[in-house]
Amino acid sequence: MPAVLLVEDDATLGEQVRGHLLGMGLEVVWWTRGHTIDPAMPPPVDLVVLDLMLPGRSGFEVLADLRKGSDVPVLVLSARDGTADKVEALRLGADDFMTKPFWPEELVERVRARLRRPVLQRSDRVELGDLAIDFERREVWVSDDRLHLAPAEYGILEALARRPGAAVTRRWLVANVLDPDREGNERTLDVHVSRLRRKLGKGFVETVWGIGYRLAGKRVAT
Amino acid sequence: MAVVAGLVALPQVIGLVWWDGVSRHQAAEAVLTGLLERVLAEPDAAEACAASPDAWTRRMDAPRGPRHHRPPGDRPPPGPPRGPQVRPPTLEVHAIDAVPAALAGVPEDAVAAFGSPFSAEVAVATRTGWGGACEVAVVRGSTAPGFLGSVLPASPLWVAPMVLVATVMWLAVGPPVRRLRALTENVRTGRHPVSMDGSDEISELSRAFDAASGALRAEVHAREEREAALRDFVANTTHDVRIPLTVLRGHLVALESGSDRAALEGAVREAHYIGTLLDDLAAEARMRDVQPAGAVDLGAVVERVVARHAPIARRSFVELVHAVPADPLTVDADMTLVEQAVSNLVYNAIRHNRAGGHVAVVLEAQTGAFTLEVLDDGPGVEPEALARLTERGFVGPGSRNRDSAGEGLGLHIVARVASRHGWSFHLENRDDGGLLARLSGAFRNPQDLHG
Repeated sequence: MPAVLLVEDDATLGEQVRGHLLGMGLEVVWWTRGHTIDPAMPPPVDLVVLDLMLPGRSGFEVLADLRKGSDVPVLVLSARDGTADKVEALRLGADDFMTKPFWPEELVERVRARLRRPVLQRSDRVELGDLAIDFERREVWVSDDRLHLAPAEYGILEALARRPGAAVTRRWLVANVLDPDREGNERTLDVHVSRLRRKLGKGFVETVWGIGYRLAGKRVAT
Repeated sequence: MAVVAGLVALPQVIGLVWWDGVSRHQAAEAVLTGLLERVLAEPDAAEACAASPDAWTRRMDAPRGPRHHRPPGDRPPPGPPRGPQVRPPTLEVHAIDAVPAALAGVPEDAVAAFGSPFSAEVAVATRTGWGGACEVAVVRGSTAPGFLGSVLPASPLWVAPMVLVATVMWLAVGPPVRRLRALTENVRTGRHPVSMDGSDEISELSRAFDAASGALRAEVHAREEREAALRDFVANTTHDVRIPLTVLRGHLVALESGSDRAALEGAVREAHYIGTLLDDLAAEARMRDVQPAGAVDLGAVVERVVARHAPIARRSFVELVHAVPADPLTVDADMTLVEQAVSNLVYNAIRHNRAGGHVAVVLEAQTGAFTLEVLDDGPGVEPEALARLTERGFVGPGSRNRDSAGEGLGLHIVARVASRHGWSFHLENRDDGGLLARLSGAFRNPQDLHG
């Protein structure tokens, strides 16, 4: 179970955030003030949710201490709207920030994104439900059946699978996947996507309104 | 200045008069002492005096100063004498106990002189040692003009050059002093312009005062304008915040009296709206100051903004989607302002859409420039209102700017942020319906980015 260190001095907000994190199935350690962190022994957590204005050591100091001995993702919560705070937090090594007020769903989504990102960055194989793609070998399986895709079809699938869930524009796919001399227009792209969909089956390649396509499905990154 | 001139000249005149008086006294004393010694040295002087003290006198000629010396035989012309008469010295004798108070304390065998330097009277007394009425012999004389030892001319005309110098000084210094006084008065009363004609130092000074005062007035004016604008702005946005707050209260009361799904969703929407109004307020205040630009990852900005508005889009049954390049797309910008601009575009597109509608946010890198598009399939905007959407306070027909968030601030802020960063901001109705808003400008790392 991933663990999160929550550093928030406001009792009500802290209790709410803790509840949301617990609801995500995370283990939560809650500090209500800024403590000194020994660089040799950083807290053994997978994510830090850090308020900036704290009694004891400030959020900036906690962040600076933490970064001396850990590269755990840090999501900063700030009630101040000034750019300087955010820039300083990012400079000190924060990965992301949220400005109060925020919706619980926003927090949940950002925490989830932070917990998942490092895994994605180092994977060269992606599994999405029945779909598995090996980027190194350029091989694609659906339910253990290997598919034979045309180069353009594989190129489109790889572009989408590199960032599962993220929409990719049709313009980008045309410019970067299709051969500009032979098939470089959006209509050709749609034809390739249509063929790819037939081969993969329903539910994988989704059309994204106003943008292009994305790869959906339950992701199992390895 | 006149007072200073007087203060300088007066001690000089007093000093000269005092010096003249002392010098005359000393000369008169020397002459009178000589006369006295000569008389007392005569062989039968003691006897003559003792015989008749009251009648014992000696004829004495008045000593004359240089200007009174005339060659022998040169007599003054007949007629009334001109100038003060020179009185010849007189000899008197007194018993020791009858010495006038003014001459008391005459030492034995010594000669003492009496008289103030500022007085014309001079007396020299000595003890004769003859006793009785002849014990003290006194010679009285005068330092009248013409007497020996004078320093200053007899005529008071010697004062004239000094008066002349003082007058010339006053004439020379007076006008500049009067101009200085006028300048001081102008500055004190805040008269504008304070500058004075001429090419002297005072005119230069006045022009410098004028320039400084002009700059100060411009600053004060600009400050007053800013304050007035801020007052208006606060008044208007206070009004804007009160509306959703009132609606929110209504929803909360409805919730209190029972489970009302519509009231709950309404409350959530109003709370979100109040939050965006506050963000606009902060952005508007921030826009008034020059903030240093820093490196801002536009992709991260889009993701944050989409995450912020996703909950409200979901509740409005509007699908909110986005696409950003995989690699950071960095621009030089004020992060808070840029985030607010993108946020306003996205929120605007959600608010003015319908249930089942879509909003897409697309960030792309093209040759040397980024484009950030926010498109929706809402009702769009009447063509005649399109160009005015970015005006502050413009509330379009059908109210694309909040349901008339009074100020119509959202798109106005976007336009100002774009202009401030040297980006272009464009709004158009899409062919398929709905609105397309596009921000574009230069970015830092214009290499080929991966989507």
